[in-house]
Amino acid sequence: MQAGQAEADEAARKALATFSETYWPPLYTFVRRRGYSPADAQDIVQGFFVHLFEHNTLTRADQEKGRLRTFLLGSLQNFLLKQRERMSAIKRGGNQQLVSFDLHLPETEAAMQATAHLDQVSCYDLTWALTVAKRSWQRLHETLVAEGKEQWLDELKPFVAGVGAVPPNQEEVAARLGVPVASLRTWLSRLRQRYRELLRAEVANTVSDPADVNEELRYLHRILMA
Amino acid sequence: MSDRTDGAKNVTESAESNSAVPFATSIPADALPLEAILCTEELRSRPSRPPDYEKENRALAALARALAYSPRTILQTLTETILEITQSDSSGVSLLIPDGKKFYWPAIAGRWTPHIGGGSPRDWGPCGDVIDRNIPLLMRHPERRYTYFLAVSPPPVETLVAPFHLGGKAVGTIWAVMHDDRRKFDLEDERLMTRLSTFASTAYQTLETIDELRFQISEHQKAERAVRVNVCPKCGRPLTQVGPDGECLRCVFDWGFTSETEGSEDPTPSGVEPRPLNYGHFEIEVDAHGIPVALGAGAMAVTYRARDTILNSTVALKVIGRKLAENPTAKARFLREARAAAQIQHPNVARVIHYGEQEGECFYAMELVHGETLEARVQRDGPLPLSLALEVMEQTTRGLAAGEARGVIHRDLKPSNLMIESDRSGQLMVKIIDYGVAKVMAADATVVQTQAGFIGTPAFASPEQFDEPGQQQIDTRSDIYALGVTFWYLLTGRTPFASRSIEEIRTKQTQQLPVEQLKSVHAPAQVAALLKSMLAADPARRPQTALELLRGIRRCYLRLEPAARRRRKRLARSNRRTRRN
Repeated sequence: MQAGQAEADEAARKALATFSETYWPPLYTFVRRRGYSPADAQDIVQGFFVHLFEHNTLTRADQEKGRLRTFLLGSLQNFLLKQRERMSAIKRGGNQQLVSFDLHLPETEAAMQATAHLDQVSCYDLTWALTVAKRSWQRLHETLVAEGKEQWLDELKPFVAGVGAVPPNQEEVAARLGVPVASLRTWLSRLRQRYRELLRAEVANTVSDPADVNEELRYLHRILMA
Repeated sequence: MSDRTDGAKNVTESAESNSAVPFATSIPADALPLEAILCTEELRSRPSRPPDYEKENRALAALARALAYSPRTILQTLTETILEITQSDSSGVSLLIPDGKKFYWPAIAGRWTPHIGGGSPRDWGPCGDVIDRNIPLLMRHPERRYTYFLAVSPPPVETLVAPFHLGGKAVGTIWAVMHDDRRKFDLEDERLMTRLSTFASTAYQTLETIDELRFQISEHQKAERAVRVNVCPKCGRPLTQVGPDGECLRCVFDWGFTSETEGSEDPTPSGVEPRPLNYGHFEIEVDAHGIPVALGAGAMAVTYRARDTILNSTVALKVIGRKLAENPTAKARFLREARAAAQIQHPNVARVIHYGEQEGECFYAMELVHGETLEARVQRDGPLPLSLALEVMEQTTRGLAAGEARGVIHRDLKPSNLMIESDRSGQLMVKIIDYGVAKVMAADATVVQTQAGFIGTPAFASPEQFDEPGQQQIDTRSDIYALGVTFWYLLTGRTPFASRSIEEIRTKQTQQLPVEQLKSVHAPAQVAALLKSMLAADPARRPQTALELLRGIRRCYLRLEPAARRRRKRLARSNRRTRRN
């Protein structure tokens, strides 16, 4: 019985680890904008995720029908209020290590610096929106790589986002791939369709009511394009 | 008097700066002393011709115009002016290279033109001696002291060398040479050289200012780019977080989201809006649809029409394919060749003016020729008249001579690499384009192996260019062969060995020339003979140098001289009369 409980705990812990890997950048940015040093901010975010894990808070978030974005921010603000009283207790999240910051810390720091003109909440929202965009974009990569269409994606990618100084030319790319321009446009259209689906799925993961997906998407778009 | 004082100061400075850079002297122990060849004093006793101020001022006004319109060729224009107003046989400019050990000759006019790009040692050359004394010097048979001149053809008899200054310091010389005794330099020549030297200083300083301005502007742009480094080139927003390849995630999100709200398939996906395409400070011109204006495209490179955003002028920008640029050997070779080509400073060679690399691509900018290729001309109007074809040949050969002097071989001479345009006075001007590019491609056998390692254009290539890459003995004579095929094409509208396969061309090259093609266009015997020698399968039987070829072309001209022409016309008229009677 105890063993079963331990396994369930381990599974929950793994799920939370994945979750935290995804969503730590907006939280970290917010704490840094509150004036904490990078080391303290890492401690706090680590402690926050441990706190979520220990209190099973995420399950509650699902049940309470809200948006993950606003729920996490609210919880973090509460956590920050309380943690002043018990700062010593959350050093490095106690003994627990849920988040590994190493991988994307420099770029998150840079992103935080680049959004210094925004208030703390806008900064959090922007980082959140970028995280969602990045995650769905990565999903698209993974899916296409799995299908063996990596090269195909490499050719089409420049049409999607500003990569490098040279703007792509449909005729040239079509000639290089040896397909008519019309086919290239069809591919681009399909790629866009797939990305749109992944983006929706990603946002759907962060809202409890499917009806909120469109509204959340619009909100994130507005934040990004501001 | 004050000039002399300044001069003395310069000598001291010059001597000091030399002693600061220790280097082995190149003066041979048995060299004749300078005094043995100096005859500057003789100038005072020689009868001097009267000054022609009108001509002199006209020449200087032309120089000033050249500076305004084509600053890059000012030195060449200067040497041509020296030649004209001193009535000398050869003239040139020598500049001290930055390490101070050697002079190089960036511009030469007259009979020594093939030696353009050569040089002389700082401590053992007429230029060094003139700079040290800081006055114009006249030398008689300078080759007796500076024995390396013995190899220079034709030999100098008298050389008048004048120093020129930059910011109060002598940095080079201008010189005039006589190759025989038909006329001796006089005091008037010394005065003219001094005046031109003053002009050269001003011109050169102006060029330096232009270069300095360009540098400052490019530094400014670099600084601007550094500030903007974190901005998406497409949406202009900060790149706060990017995708795995640096993609702007805002653009990515927008791309997915916009179609979501539109709910329809957009026939023109975002990302294709026309926007500037830049290589360094060159902006490629795009048409109304945002498509770059390509001037030409080969297997390895595309040439675009582009704008120099600093000088606000139009250039031809050649962008070398990514595949070639990825190969370090080929890339290094490309740079080397671009450098060599950049040093061919000749009116008949389109100048390379900038080299750059950007995001894995190499590019260089060259002078844009506002004309058409000879291939286009012949395709449009048919074969050229003999006089025009000879003019084209002569100018091309002059350009070739300049390349030969720099040790650069073209390797792909053909009508589509020769452009013709008219200068301001309506005179025909031939420009050789794509110098050195073919050789760069040859360096990377893995890239170009379309026809068993062959580089160039088969119909215009010399027999030796078909040899295995390791066994090729390619020199100017290969270019002379290609020029022969070009000449043939200009006169007849076709190539002598037209064929579908390389093997067939190779076989035909060793057989009899199809001279009947020449007869059908009434090519004179001298022209046929010249073509025959240029198209000899054995390189040893062709004209050996561009200069030798030039002499051959000149001989063909004799037939076109007015007297000869009148004779032919008279003959034709009398023939017609005979027929009528």
